[in-house]
Amino acid sequence: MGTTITIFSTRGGSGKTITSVSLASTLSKMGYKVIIIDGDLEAPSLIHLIKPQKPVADLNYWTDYLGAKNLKVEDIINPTKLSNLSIIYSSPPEIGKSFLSKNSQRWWQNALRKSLTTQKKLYEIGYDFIIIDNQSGTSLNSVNNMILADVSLLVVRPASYGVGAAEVFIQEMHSLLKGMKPRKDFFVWNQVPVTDNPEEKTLLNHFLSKWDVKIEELGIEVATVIPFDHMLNLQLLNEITNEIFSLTISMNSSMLEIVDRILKYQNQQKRNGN
Amino acid sequence: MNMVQYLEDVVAILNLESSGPNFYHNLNSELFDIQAKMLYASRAIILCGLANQRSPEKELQGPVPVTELSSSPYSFYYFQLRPHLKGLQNIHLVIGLIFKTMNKKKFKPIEDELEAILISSFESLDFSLISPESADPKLKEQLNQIFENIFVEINSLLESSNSEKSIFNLGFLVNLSGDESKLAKKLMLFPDGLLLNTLSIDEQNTLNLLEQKGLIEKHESDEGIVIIPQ
Ligand SMILES: Nc1ncnc2c1ncn2[C@@H]1O[C@H](COP(=O)(O)OP(=O)(O)OP(=O)(O)O)[C@@H](O)[C@H]1O
Ligand SMILES: [Mg+2]
Repeated sequence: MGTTITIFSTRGGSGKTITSVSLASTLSKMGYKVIIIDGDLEAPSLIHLIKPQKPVADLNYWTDYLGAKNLKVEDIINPTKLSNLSIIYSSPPEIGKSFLSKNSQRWWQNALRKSLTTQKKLYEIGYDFIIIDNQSGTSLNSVNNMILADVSLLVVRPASYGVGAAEVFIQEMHSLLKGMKPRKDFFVWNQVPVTDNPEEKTLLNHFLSKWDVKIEELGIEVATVIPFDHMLNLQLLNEITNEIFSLTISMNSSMLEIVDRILKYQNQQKRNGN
Repeated sequence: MNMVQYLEDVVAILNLESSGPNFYHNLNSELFDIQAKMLYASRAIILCGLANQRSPEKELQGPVPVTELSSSPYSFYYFQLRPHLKGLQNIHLVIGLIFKTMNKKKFKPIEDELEAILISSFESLDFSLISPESADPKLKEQLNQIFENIFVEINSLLESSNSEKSIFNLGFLVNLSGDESKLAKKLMLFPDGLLLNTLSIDEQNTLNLLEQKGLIEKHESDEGIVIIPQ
């Protein structure tokens, strides 16, 4: 059985997609068979970061698959430049948006059922890790993706408003997900300011350590602290999309730290007989 | 959520004696459209008056079809209440609820709750504002408030009965009781089915409750009985 990692956030632009792609490429370079799903149906962005190897017109999307009966899971899996990494795209925003508004609760129930079945199929195909780049906030879609997760990464920028929302979100999420299956939730600080100024450093550390206590109280572990990397930011401005896997090297040490914690958790689960 | 959608389906009318003061409250522009407003209203009130003849007290009656109301078919629930106050022996209140017949299926499952809502709402009415000949203008205010509340309650009833009973309906799932919710959450992760014999005795007892609610189905297979979450 493989492991599903859902990357989520309460606010947009926190770095879910960058983290998803970096983590996926790190794991696949380590030899794991990985598939990344664009679960952000409102603003799917993987298609921009990992260019499809076939014409866009020929792509079958996750969104279509969830709703349609005549698509097989093989139809939506696409290769990437990395031999161990596959990808499932979601439809572009225009379709994505109208798609969200017109779909009813019933649709999402079926989508949940289908996602769970697909998760099993992907493990059968041989994927060790399924990585889901989730939509931010609480929607039926993002909750469905959280249900699939064995491990979740909550990506948060260090700003008091962002963290406050995350706290409420975690509590609500936990009451729904409690007792469903063993899960491990991690917190990821991203875009953390880098400074040499002692006063600024104190301010930052004060903020982070204050939240560390709260995060621990919520039963979550801080997996890593990713610094604000202005090179990464600048490169993304250019959409040098084919270079995405090398571009994320700047995040390598953080990703290795996350992988380390996930593997430790897996070992612990094995010992517990799960 | 679908406030407007449901509210538009319902019209309420209150009639105090066929000769006494009438009140109606509506959110249905088709039924009470501007030109025909008074025509429809008066027909509805006559219906209400007819309904009060021999109807039992505090029991929801109907629905009866009211074909004459407009070109699209409507149905009508009515409910009678008598204020047991000195000097008011002859007063009976008839509350009529009119809705599109095509929505009958939606109302059927909530009839009991609807009755309870009508009883509790109208018993709060200040009957001292009514005399056999007239009603205090304050009564109209009170009634409007009651109607508003009824609409909100009916709306939320329709909404909750409308949301499907399914293990995959998360809103429904979290409202199950402790053990049931726990087992339902477990079963959800096996959409293609889980062998019955993998469940503990306690879980199998809880399973019966889920089965009664139509949340699981049991199927025979070569390996034994399989539970399929619904
Ligand atoms: N560690 C970082 N250092 C510098 N910039 C970053 C970092 N992480 C993310 N960014 C910037 O933030 C932007 C948003 O990142 P990303 O698209 O990964 O966020 P997201 O949470 O997926 O957003 P959305 O909610 O829109 O899906 C990126 O374009 C990138 O420029
Ligand atoms: Mg994103």
